[in-house]
Amino acid sequence: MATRLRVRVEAETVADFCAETGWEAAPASPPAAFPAVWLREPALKQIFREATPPGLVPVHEAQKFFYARPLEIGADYDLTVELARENMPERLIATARIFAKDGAAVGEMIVTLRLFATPEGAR
Amino acid sequence: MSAPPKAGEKIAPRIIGPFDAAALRAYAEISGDDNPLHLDRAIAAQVGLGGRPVHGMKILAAFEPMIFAWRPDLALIELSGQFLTPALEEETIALSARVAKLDGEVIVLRLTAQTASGAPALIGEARLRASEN
Repeated sequence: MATRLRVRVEAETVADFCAETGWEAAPASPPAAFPAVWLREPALKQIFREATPPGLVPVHEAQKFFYARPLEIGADYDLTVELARENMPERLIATARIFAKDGAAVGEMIVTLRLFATPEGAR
Repeated sequence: MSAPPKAGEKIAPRIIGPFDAAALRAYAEISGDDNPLHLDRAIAAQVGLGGRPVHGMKILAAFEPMIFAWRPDLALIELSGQFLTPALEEETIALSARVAKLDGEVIVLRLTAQTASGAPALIGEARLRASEN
């Protein structure tokens, strides 16, 4: 089942993300990698937490972004997130589809997390 | 758009880092990737790492300003990367990119990040086309 949530591209968050990723000044449009910040949304953190079996910890293994049109600063977007599980090796794969408020498809973000045994100190 | 690039053209490389614990904490806060592996040296040591690993997404995202500096008239329509050898705090990371091919109006770049020891930290791809702005 898909998780749906609304997110906003705040200018301040774009500036903060750019400062942490090597931009001398924030570009006119948000960077393609900007949706990575939406992974801090509590609803998304919760679905990753619930999908991670006890004793395993997710580690970011791969990431993809696709765009039909650029993101815009100040705009709201609707995310539809679906989670898939792979075995051998164990992975979680989240596909987040990004839609404008009018329903138009804007892009997609695919997050691949490899599941490793939790280090002792992180349990 | 100015003249399209040619296959094989190399983009000016960049060195990023070294990143300290504060930089990793700052990226964890903006991205929400607060996996303790990136933040706690003792936990990193438990999995055999000699330091806290830099977030792979922080490395992948660092290609964008490099690409923008090369061709600000192009816009990214795809960006992807696989995170391979962990790049550790307090070491530099070398970013390089070249034009792999032209696919109609789309320019395909191959992206590579290497750790200070030359191990592949990331391999990736970017697809660009003329910016509408």
